[in-house]
Amino acid sequence: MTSLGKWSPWRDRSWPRVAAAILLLAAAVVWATIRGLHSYALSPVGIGYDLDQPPVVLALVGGWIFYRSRRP
Amino acid sequence: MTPRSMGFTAIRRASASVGLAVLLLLLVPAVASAHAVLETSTPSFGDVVAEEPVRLTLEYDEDVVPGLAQVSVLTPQGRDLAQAPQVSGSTVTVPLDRGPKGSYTVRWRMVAGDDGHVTEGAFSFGVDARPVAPVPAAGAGIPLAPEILVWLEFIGIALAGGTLVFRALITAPVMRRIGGSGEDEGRIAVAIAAIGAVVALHAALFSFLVGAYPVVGGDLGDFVDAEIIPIRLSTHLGQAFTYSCFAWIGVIALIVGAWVHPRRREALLAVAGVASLAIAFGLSWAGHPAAGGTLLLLADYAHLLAAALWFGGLVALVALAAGVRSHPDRAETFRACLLRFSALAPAAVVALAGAGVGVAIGELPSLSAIVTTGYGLVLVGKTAIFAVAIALAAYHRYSVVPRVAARASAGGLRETLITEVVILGVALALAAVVSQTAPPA
Amino acid sequence: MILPQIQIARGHWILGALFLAIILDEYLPLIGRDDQPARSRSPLIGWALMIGGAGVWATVIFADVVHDMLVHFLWGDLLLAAGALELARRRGVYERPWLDYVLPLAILGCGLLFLVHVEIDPEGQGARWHLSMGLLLVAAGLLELLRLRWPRVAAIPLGLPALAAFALLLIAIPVAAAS
Repeated sequence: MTSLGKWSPWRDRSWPRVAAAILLLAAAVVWATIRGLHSYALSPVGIGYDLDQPPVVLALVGGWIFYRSRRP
Repeated sequence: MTPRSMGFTAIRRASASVGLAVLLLLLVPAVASAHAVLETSTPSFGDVVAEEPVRLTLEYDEDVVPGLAQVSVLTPQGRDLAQAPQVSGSTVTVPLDRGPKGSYTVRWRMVAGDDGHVTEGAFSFGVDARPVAPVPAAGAGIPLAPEILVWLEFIGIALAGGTLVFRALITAPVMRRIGGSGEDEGRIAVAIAAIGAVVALHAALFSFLVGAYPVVGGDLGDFVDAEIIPIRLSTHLGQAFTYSCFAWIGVIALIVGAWVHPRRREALLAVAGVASLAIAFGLSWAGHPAAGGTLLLLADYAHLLAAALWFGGLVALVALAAGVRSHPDRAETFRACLLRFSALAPAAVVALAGAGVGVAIGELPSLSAIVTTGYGLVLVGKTAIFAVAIALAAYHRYSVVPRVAARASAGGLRETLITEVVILGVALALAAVVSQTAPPA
Repeated sequence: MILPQIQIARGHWILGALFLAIILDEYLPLIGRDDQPARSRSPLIGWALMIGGAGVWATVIFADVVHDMLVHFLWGDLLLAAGALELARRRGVYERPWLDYVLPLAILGCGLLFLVHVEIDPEGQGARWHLSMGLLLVAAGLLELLRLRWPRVAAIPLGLPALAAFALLLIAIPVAAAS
């Protein structure tokens, strides 16, 4: 068996934080979908301007807490 | 952890702290209010207009009740030039009679259209003249003696500034010379200074409010809805409050930093001590001496600094003496600190007396005013109490200190030091009364 | 200084996200390799409370009206005291069992002061949002106190949902209600 076969995205992570991250990312997707994706700009400047929009900040927090889920 | 990763962690923590801190500001509803808040006026507060205006226009952030709007526009002589206010939604227009040149006080009182809350405020503008602070409303007073708050400010400055400068100039060099961790003494200094800074910060806030109340006028209940910005910006009282509050917050942060970072304690405490003494300038600046010229202002500040160093140093000595009771091994530290303090304290006493005489000469119009005016009599009382404290200090300096230097018994020293602290505390109370008593013309 | 309303709202969204990130990091347990939960002892919370307290005192100084000064100075005191004690505990210079109560009581106190502020100024801008935020902080504080008194639930961050809801309210606050 290769080392890739032993790899697991969960084994080295703390599950409460992973669960919170998934919840936040899902909420961000639902929120953005309900609001309508046409509201968001696609140019680099426009994306930068959207970074404080509520669904985007939820996704950013989700990403952060996933990053902070590594076991001590 | 490598230095690089430590640095990265520190930067990350600092960034996150700042982020959360700014957020915590949002945990608190901002200071916008649903009451009728004055947004703009023509003329506005602090404005200087070339000719007397024919009308005053006030713009509020919401509609006000027409029949309950009250506005007065007072000339320097106290004559009200305002005619009946005309209200249209959130705009109040007040036709004005013609008046002389000078600083005008506008005093207004509105009732909000939607919730019926009363707001009031005062500001000043000048007609071909520099505006001065709004004149106090007749008969307005607050049931809290401002002297008590000024006294608490003095005590706070002495505890934070005097105790910490004592620590920097006396205790820290002694600890370096004779060894020992000084950990307990450091914690006690932090505690005393923290109490002083917190007391001074709150006394500064309430002193400002007590001072602002008669300027705004009206009922005490309505005062809580009074618009305070013009008084904060246009008076020495408000400006001193603004700077001293920010500075006290900085001092408190330094003291907490010294508490939680023992390795940087001495440096942080020294900065906090010097900053505390610097804040004391605000008290002189907002008091009577500021009107008497730069020299009188500096003399008053020097007087206050010397008193703070003397009082704070004594409190620090008493704290060290208390430590000797429970830890006899600290007797040598106390002894060395007492000897060093007794060498420096006479300079503070001389500065206190000299600056005090200078202030008295500057404030009193004649020698006879010492006994013929209330200001002079309080000054005499204060000087008498200080004289008692100086006599006790002389007893310590010339009777007790030589015995301590010769390692002979100095029983009862702690009690007589406490007595000296109490006497100085009473003298500071009388100094607070002097600061709130108008000097004779 | 009066900021445009949209910028105030954007501030709420961004800082709501920061608050959410920090409380999740503080309260969500890290299950270690030994399967035991480990809780954060970062001094970040303490410094943030301190700086927040200083900021609220700045709000006292720049307040429009007197009642704002009176409410905000209590808020500032609460945050400064809680921050100093949390810092001392987390840096190991002062440790007492009762210090466990500091953060829950600070959260509870902030919530109560929200309610007092809304009571003084019930028609204020965003009063309903502030009322909701106050109630959530009160609930979070009480639940965290319950967790301290009830060992069986000590490992469960009971106050976290209310604190997270508070953060989400900040993130979701409409432009017109932000103040």
